[in-house]
Amino acid sequence: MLTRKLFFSAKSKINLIAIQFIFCSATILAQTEFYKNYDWSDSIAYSKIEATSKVILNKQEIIEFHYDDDVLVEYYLKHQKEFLVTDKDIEESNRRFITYANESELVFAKARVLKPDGKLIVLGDSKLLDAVNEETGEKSKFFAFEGIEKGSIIEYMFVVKKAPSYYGRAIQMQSTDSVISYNLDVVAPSNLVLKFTTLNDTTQTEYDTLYKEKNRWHIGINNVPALKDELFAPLNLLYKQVVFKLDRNLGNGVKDISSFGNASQNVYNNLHANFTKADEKALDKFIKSIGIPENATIDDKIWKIDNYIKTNIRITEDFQLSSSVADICETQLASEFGIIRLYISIFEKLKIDYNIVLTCDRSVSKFNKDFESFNSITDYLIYFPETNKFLDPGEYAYRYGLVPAQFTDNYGLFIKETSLGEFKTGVGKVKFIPPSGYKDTYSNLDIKVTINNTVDEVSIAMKDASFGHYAVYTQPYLRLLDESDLKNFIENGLKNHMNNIEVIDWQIADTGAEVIGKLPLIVTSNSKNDDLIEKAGDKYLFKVGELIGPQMELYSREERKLPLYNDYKRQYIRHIEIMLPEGYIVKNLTDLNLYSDSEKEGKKVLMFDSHYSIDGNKLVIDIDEFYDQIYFDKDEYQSYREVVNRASDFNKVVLILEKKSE
Amino acid sequence: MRLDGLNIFRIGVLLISINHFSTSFAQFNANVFQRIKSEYNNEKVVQLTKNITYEIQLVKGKPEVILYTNESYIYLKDISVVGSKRSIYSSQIFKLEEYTANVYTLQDGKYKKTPVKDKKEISNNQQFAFFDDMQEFTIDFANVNEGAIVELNTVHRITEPRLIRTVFFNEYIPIDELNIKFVVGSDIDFKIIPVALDKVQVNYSEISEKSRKLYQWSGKKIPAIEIEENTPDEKYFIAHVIPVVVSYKNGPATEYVLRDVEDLYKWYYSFIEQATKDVNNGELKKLSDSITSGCSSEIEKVKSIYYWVQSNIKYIAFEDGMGGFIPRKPDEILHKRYGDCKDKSCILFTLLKLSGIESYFTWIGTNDIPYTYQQVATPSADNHMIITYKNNGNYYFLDGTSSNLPLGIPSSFIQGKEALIAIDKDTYEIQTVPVLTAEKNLICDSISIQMKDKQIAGSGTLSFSGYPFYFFHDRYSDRDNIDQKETVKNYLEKGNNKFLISEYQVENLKPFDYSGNLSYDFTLGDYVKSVDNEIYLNLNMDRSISAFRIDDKRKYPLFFEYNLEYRFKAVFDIPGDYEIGYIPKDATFDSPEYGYSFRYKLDGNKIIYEHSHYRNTLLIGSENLKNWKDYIKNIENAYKETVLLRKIKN
Repeated sequence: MLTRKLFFSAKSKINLIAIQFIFCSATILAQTEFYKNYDWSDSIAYSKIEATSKVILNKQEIIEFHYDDDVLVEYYLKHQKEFLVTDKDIEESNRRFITYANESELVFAKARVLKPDGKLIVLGDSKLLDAVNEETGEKSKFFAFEGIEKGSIIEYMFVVKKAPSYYGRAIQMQSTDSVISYNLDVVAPSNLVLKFTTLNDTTQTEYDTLYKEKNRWHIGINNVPALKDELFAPLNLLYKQVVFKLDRNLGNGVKDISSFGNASQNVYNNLHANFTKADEKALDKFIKSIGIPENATIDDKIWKIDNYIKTNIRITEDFQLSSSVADICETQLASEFGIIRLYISIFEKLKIDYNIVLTCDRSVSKFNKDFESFNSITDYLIYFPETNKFLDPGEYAYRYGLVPAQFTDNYGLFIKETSLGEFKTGVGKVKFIPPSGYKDTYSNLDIKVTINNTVDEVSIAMKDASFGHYAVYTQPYLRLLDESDLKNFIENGLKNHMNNIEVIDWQIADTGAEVIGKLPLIVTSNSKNDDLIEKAGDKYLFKVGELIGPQMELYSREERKLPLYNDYKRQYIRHIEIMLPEGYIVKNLTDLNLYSDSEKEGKKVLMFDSHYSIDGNKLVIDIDEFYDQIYFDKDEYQSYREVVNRASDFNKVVLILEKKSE
Repeated sequence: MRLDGLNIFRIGVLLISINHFSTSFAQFNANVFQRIKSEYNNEKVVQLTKNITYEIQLVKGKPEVILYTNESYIYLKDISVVGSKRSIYSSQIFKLEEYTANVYTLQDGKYKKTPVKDKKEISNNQQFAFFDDMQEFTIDFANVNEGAIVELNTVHRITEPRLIRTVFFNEYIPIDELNIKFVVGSDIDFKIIPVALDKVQVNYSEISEKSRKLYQWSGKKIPAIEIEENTPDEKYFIAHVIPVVVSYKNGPATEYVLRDVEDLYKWYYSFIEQATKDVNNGELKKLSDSITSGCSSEIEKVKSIYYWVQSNIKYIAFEDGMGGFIPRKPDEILHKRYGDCKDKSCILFTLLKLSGIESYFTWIGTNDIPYTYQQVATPSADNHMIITYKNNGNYYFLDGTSSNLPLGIPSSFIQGKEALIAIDKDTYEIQTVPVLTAEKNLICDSISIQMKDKQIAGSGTLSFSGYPFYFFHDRYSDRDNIDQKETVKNYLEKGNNKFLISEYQVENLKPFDYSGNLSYDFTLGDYVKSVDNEIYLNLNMDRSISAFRIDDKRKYPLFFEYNLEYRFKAVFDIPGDYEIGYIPKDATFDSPEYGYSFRYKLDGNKIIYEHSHYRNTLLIGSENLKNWKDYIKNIENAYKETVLLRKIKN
């Protein structure tokens, strides 16, 4: 990959929940920018590093909040020096991107290369090129590094001026490359007080008592090892990082600025602001068009509302779109914020009790209960106390009852309405968002197999039922496919399941919008696969294990170093009936019995169990496999590996068929 | 790697955006929806119109090329939740002059037209090109519900008459109505090269008028291109036409544009002249001297310089107007340390020249392009640049964009292609790059195995040469330990995924070498079956050729990057108290294009199994697909044969 985004602009949903505080700076004397005192040294000495991949020699970041004519802005400075080792490092470094929001401004950027022979190349402005992406509202510039070779040191530094982001930010100090020296300075006008915390065993930030002009916090660490990825390792949760937030403004005495209490009120107020008569009218018409039966249960009602909105309104990335309910109904387009307004207006109108839930994507960061800041509350869900279920308003693929797994197994801020006399506002409480149960996500197989009497053909009738997270990225989209796409999709799926399968026919159960998330996605098929039979003289080998398809394996004996985090709990139930050819017996039926499990706190949390029964020439195999645990410490990895491998072992079971002796 | 600067004819661009006609259609009739729905049952979207019109006229004595496209799509399913996005493109050479976009939605039995004004630019976000002067604009059509039609009309000016784009007749969705038209001024000598037009049903007409000539194809219900695996580029099997401006009249004189290879060559030669004049040779000369300092022969010098360029100048694609044709200057490339194929060729040429060695700039089409220069004497015939070096009547094709490719082996993707070699200003040569035969691309895997605790344990050696070695090298060298282990596992795994390598060694993995070895110890679990007094062992442990199995429905040719021979040998120690119960029969098949053999031999207490297959063709044409299907089926049947051992009764 050539592109490497150095920095993502902070365009997040936080903007929608926060009210910009007017910062009283009248009493503050003009202060100078701290970052302006920072520069790289003109002289740079070359020294070789022994390493097998890129090393970050030095990384410095400065986040400075500053009053520019009474307006609070942020200057973000990054300075990085890297020692390049491999060809891949060079290829990735030929272009280095600086990405920032359209409304931000690149104050300056400079870069240079120090070659192994000591020659220094300073990149001129002509080597800083433009890239545009109006769709994401981001601008970028990239350095075109020249003259780099193995052993070169590249160095670059830039400052971006942008809208300040201070309600909660996590800064990673570790990465998949090793870092020799890392330093972060966070600087704020003297009236603004920030709070810090760190994650994953690192030093704490220090407040600079000597620097009087402004508030300055500093954190520096040396020799941060690279974190090398492993299968399903939650790297983002494991990196050493520092999190900060604005806590107080001494200028106007406002406290707890980034608190959850504050967020709860703001979210409530923003969602309820400016609801007009026109909105009211449009809403009534919209609700009518949903067509909710009088006698519908609360589950049915919510599901119908959710499904109707998702099949009729498109969410766009255009965050400037009007969020008025009337406009949304008219244009059938909504921003992520507008769509929530539509949902809650309907729920309020129909008197369905709900909470707005704010949480964060656990593949990025975990909700931090002990450090209230807005980086824990970046994503929205809606929770229904009466049914104890959740809904994700922004995800087309998900329907009421199931939300993306990354927003579960995490805490969230649950906001409900509260009244203070006439005045209504939101009040929040931190609660756990449980992962969906293992029985709620499945991929079950019901397979009927006939081996013909000449033992050279295997007929397979298969019913594949998937539900929950296994159906979510398929079921809602099937109705949008045309016949040939659908055919390719199904047939390729069957071929991935069993190599060299010859599909005769297939059927897919009702895929209409009205069953999404309610009924499993069922694909039934008839096929032949003569590759399942092999011969050894007058004996036959039947590769029964291949009926369940290829399974994930963790056979490698490499030592596990990091914890493992699956997305969701799940179950696989397979029922297989095999009609054996007349006159043959199976010599090794007991090979079908495979078992492994793991218990935690006295409860069975993982299991693979396969066993058989035989009646005449009908062989029946039942397999139950489930995962009721998703997070595994390094020490628990073995038990996970055992169960996973047991399923993969089954995939390799071969039955020996022999003619019955007369 | 192959998407190169020379190739402005990017297929993605063509298939998405090159459609035609200027005048926006009046209103669509509501009946169209019912008709399309009944005629294209079960389609999600049908391209209603694909109208492409080229107008080629002399303006102020120069040919002016304007491309009008009109494309419209009708949606038979409601996709308003996902929307419809289309892209349009503009560059120096292919300049967008104007466009209109409309969406027509069905309301009360009538189509209501809504113009779409906004276009959003996404430029220079391409991963494959370092710098791209091609601007991409996306147009987002909203409200695309059932029956909706989206329409896009563009006008482009093509600023170089040699670069008129190829027009394809099919798309990846069915086209209801197709019109391809060339309107050419009569003072322009113009020709159209048709390719694979027998693959499509269209009407052709030619109308000569007083001041212009019309060439026109029209068709209805043009089927969609199907997606199949391992096909060659679409140009091999999809109908298309290549327009060529041959010459034009400029007053009494005739200006020649592209009559033949000669004209193409003259144009091309001007680019290399530009790149090689006024070069500051100081640094380059020093470098050339230092690279070749220990070399005793010319061929050694060539090797040293060639390898230096491969290792030290990084490959990067550019798309920059005419910069897509003109190499950058060699001193600039040396400073930057990166370049595209032309740049790499240019620095290679210069370093060789400074060492007193003659070499030649060479244009070539990669295997994406099916034409010879004789058939198509236009820039459509090539998309790549290399350097040719001659020694003792032998031709060496030096591809600077490779890495670790030894001298004497062409890059795999130019095998069998014509090289247009620039000898001097007036002289060129066309030579065909040789194709490496199967036995030169050899994978030879030999294992010795025993049974240990009902599992297989053993050791083996895999030796490979030619492209298989080259590609392994590419994936292995200069990687970290984890990647290397993964690569080795992928190359060696056989039997099943319980194949575990306990130790391995890479031998002779030298850069720019032709062959190397991997030796390894391994165990293989759950593979051999031991039941009662019998052992079942299938010695056909590598069945990777099954990836090229095709079914009866296969339509398009099957394509391979290089010829290949694979040999596998397994020596199995029969456990002491067992004897042979069944041993499979030998089988062989030979033909000039491909073949296989299976041999089982009992030698004392060992079974020696040898299997090989080879393929000496890069393309299996549509007419030969059935033979290929049967060939693979026969191999797969032989793979089912299993060895049976029985315990010796006392």
